[in-house]
Amino acid sequence: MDKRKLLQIPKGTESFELEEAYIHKKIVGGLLDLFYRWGFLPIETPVFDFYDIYSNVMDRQARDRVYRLIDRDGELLMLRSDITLFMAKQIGLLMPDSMHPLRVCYADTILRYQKNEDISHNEFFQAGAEFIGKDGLEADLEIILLLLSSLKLLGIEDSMLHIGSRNLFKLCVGTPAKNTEGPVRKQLLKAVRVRDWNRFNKVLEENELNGEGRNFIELFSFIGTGKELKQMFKSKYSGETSDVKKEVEYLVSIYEYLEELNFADNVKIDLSELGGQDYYSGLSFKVYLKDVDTAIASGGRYNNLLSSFGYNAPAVGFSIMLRKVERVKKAAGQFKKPDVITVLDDPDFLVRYRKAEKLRNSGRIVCL
Amino acid sequence: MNKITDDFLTIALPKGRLENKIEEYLSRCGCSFSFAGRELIAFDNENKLKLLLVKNADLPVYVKHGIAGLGICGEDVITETGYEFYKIFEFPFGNTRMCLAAKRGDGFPKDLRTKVKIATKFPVFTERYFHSLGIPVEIIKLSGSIELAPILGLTHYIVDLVETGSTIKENNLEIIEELAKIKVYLISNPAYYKLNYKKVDDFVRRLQKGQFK
Repeated sequence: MDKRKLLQIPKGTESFELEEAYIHKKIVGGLLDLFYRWGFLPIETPVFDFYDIYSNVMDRQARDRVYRLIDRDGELLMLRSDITLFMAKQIGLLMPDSMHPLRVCYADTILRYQKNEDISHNEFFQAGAEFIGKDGLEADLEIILLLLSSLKLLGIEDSMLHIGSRNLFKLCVGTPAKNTEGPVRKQLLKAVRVRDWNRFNKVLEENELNGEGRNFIELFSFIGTGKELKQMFKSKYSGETSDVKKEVEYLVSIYEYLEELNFADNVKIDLSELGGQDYYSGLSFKVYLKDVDTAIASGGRYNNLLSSFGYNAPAVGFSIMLRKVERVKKAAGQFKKPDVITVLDDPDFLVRYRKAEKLRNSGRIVCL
Repeated sequence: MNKITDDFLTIALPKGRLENKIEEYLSRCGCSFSFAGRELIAFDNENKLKLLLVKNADLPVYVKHGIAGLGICGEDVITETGYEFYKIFEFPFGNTRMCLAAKRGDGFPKDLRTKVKIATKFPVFTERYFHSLGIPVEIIKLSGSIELAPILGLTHYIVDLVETGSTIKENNLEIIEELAKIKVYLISNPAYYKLNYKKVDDFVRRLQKGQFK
C-alpha cells in the first residue's frame, strides 16, 4: 500500500471526526432549524453537473479551481464548487412562477482546488440561505437580519458586517459608452477590492473613464456609518448622477434599519466590498471576526444569475463558512458534546437497556 | 513601563537588508523599538505596536494567516507568494530593480519563438513577465548566487534584484533590461484591516509624516 496516500487526502476536501464532527453537526442542525423558523425550506443540489452550463458564469479564478471529470458518455462534468451556482440552475428549472418568492436554505459541502498552504481559506462546508423572486430593501434586509441572527445563535457577538454595493461600482465607473465589461472592469474591481487606489486611478486614466474630473477614491475607500456616508457624499459628491445618489441613499437606509434594530455596533458600510463572484449585481457583504484571518460569511444580491439558466428572477443570499466559525471558541463551546456520559455497569443487559432508556428520556447521554 | 493592552497593531518586519532602514524610519515617525538580544518580538515605546522579526520570505505567510495583521516587505516577496494583500503605504526607501541580465555581449534573446532559459529566485514574477510579452520561458529556480548561472553555463539569462549593479559587473555580466521597479510596502491582511481600519489609517498617517522629516 502507498503510505503517502494512506496518510493524506486529495487537495480540495477535508475529513474530521468525533468531537469536532459533533460540534459541526450540532451547528449545522442549529442553523437549519433557525432557517426553517424564518420560513426557509431546504434545497439539495447535485454533487456534480455539466461543466458547460456553468463555465460562462464563473470567472477565470473560479474556473481554475473547479474539479472536472468525464462521464461514461464523454460529457465534461464539474464537482459542486459553488452551491449558489448549482442552486440557481435547479431553481430555474424546477420552480414555477407561482412558487415565488421562494426562500431556500442549505448546509452542504463544496469541492474545489486549494493549495496546501491555503488551508486557512477553508470553505468546504457552507450553510446559507437564498431569497429568490423578490427585489428591494425588504428582501435585502431579511437576508441580512437572518445572517445576523445566525451569528447570534452561534454566540458570535463581536463580528463586523461590512456592506457594499456592486451596483454603485457599476453606476460610477461602468459608463455605457466605454467597454468596461471584461478586462478593464475586472482590473478596476480588483483595484477597489484590494484598496489599491493608485492602480484604480491609473486604470481609469488609461481608459479615459474619469471624465469631468470625477474622483471616486474617497467614495470607494469609505468605511463607516450611514450618517458618515451621508455627510461625506453630500460634501464631496453632490454633483453625482441621480442613480448614484439613489444607490447611496439605499445603502444609508439599509444601515438605518439595522441601527433601528440595534445592530449598529456590528455593521459598517464599506464601499470596497464588491463581492467575490462576478454574478453579484447589487448589495454585497462580508462578515469579519477578530482573530479569524478571512471573512467568516459572505453574500449579496445576484439579480442576473438565474437568467443565465433561462429563468429570470432577482435573488439575494449568504453563505457562512462553517469550519471558520467552528473554530471560534464561543461557538464551539456552545455546541460541544455534554461532558458527562453515563456508562451503566449492571451485569444484566436488559436491566441496563431499560435503565438507559429512562435516563435518555431525561436528557442524559447513556452508553450501554 | 506602560501596561501592554490588546489595543496594539501587530506588524511583521523582515530580517535582512531592510531591517535597519525600517527601524530608522519608524523611529523618525515616533515609533522607537529594539529587539533585546536574540528576541524576535518587541513592543514600541508607546506600546501601540507589537513587532515580530521574521524571515523575509516567510513574512507574507504570517500576514496571510493573520498572526501579524500588518507587514513590511518588498513587492518581489509578495508576488512570489501569490497572496492578495492591501498595500497601504509605499515606503520611500529600499527600492530596487528586477532586471534581466546575461554575459556581457549576449544581449536580449534573439529568437523569441523558442523557449528562453532563465535562472532566478523569482519564478512567479519571471513567468508572469515573459508570458505577458508572449515569450515562452523555461525557468530554473535557484535560491542564491544567481550570477553563477550564466558563468557556469546553466542558463544564458538570469532575472534578479539589482541594487547598485556592482555584483553583476564584477561577474562580467550586464543588465539587458530593467523589468520592474520593486518597491517596499506596508501590507495588511484584508480581514485585519477591515476590523482595525481606524488604527491602521492613523498609523499610516504617522508613516506619511516620516516622509517629510
